[in-house]
Amino acid sequence: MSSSKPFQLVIGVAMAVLIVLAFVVVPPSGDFESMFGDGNLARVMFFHVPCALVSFLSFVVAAVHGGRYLKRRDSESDLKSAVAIELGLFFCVIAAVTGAVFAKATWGAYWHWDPRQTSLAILLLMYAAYRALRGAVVDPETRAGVSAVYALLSIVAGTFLFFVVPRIPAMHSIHPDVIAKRGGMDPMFRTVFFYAMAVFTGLYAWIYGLSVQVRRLAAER
Amino acid sequence: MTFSAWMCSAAAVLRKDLLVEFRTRAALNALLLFAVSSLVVVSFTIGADALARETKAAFLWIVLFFSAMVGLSRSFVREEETKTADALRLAAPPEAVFVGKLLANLATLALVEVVVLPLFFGLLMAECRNWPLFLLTAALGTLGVAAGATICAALVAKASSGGALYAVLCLPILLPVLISAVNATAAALTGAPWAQAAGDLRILLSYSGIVVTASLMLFEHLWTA
Repeated sequence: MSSSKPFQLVIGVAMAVLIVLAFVVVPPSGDFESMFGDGNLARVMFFHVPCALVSFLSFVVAAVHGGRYLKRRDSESDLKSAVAIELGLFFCVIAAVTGAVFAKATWGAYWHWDPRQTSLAILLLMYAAYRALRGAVVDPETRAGVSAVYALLSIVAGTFLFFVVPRIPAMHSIHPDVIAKRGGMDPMFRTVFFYAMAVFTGLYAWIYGLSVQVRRLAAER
Repeated sequence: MTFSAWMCSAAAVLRKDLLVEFRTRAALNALLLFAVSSLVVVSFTIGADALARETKAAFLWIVLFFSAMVGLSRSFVREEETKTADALRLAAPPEAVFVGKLLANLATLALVEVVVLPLFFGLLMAECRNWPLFLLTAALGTLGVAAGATICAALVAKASSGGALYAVLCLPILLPVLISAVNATAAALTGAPWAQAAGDLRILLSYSGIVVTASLMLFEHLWTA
């Protein structure tokens, strides 16, 4: 446990710095000013987008460990896959909540059934179903195999939902697509944005390491 | 194994499944009864005129989805119950089993639709303004529902509590299909131009392709585990 102490300290300080940068240092965004009438709304991006991407990253981690399980049939991969799904769900909920707050401020309603919000809701349901599936299979080896297959199946469907559906032109998404717009971001804004990505990825790595240790101890008991 | 031999064993699995189904008609009867009774109940209680066209489109797909949930898990659960799964594992390669089951489920759903669609138009007095779009949507949507339902049936056959879990697993996997199918059907019923349904048709086709491909790659691990 003590080995994660320095890392924990680094993540804590980095997160504090991110909060100061995001709310105090970065000026209101001109882009958002012209789009939604208030440049301060852009600040949610430093938290919403990293959470969404980290949750997706976590689902990818779960799928990779699922694939590894199908190859090696070891309980360690199964454990890591299950932990990654749970963390992914956690970050997915944060992304949904921050997204809903932003939606209220810009579009006037918390939930709009924009293609992005729809995809997010489906992802949440999909991985909640993963947990139901795990609960329903008694035999540990069958459970691990079935869960691994479901984790891989949902990452394929999830990638499609997360990245493809909102970008089909006929779907008319009104979600701002700031990252895809080349050169659209102010340099200062972009630096803090990528810093936020790094901090959240670090935060994820820290929580993931701890959760795997907890699960392993619980399995040994 | 050559491709033609593979196709032969897939066709044999399909024939076997249809034959077993035809003997008992357990799944088909359950699907049909569910679909017909829910159509009758809605048309009887709230009448045909009360529903908007969009609501009718949503209702049609809800009926089709839940009737699939009632019966399609049988395709794999039956093999586990009658202990024929091991024999099937010896007799055919995993992908052929999956394709055979998928086609059998597709045939079952198509049969249900042959009954349900005329009833839908008759009982709910829905009138369609763009038949080609409606039929294309129905075909693509059925393919998508059958694809997701088949792989989920294989998953659920391994779990102890079958029934309730099946719908829980299927719903998120099939939601993209359902949403797009409802949108495209609503466009067909209201007589909207093809362009309005273009995005939804693209999602239906590509998503079904993705689910079938992923299932073909994953099924072996599930089947032989």
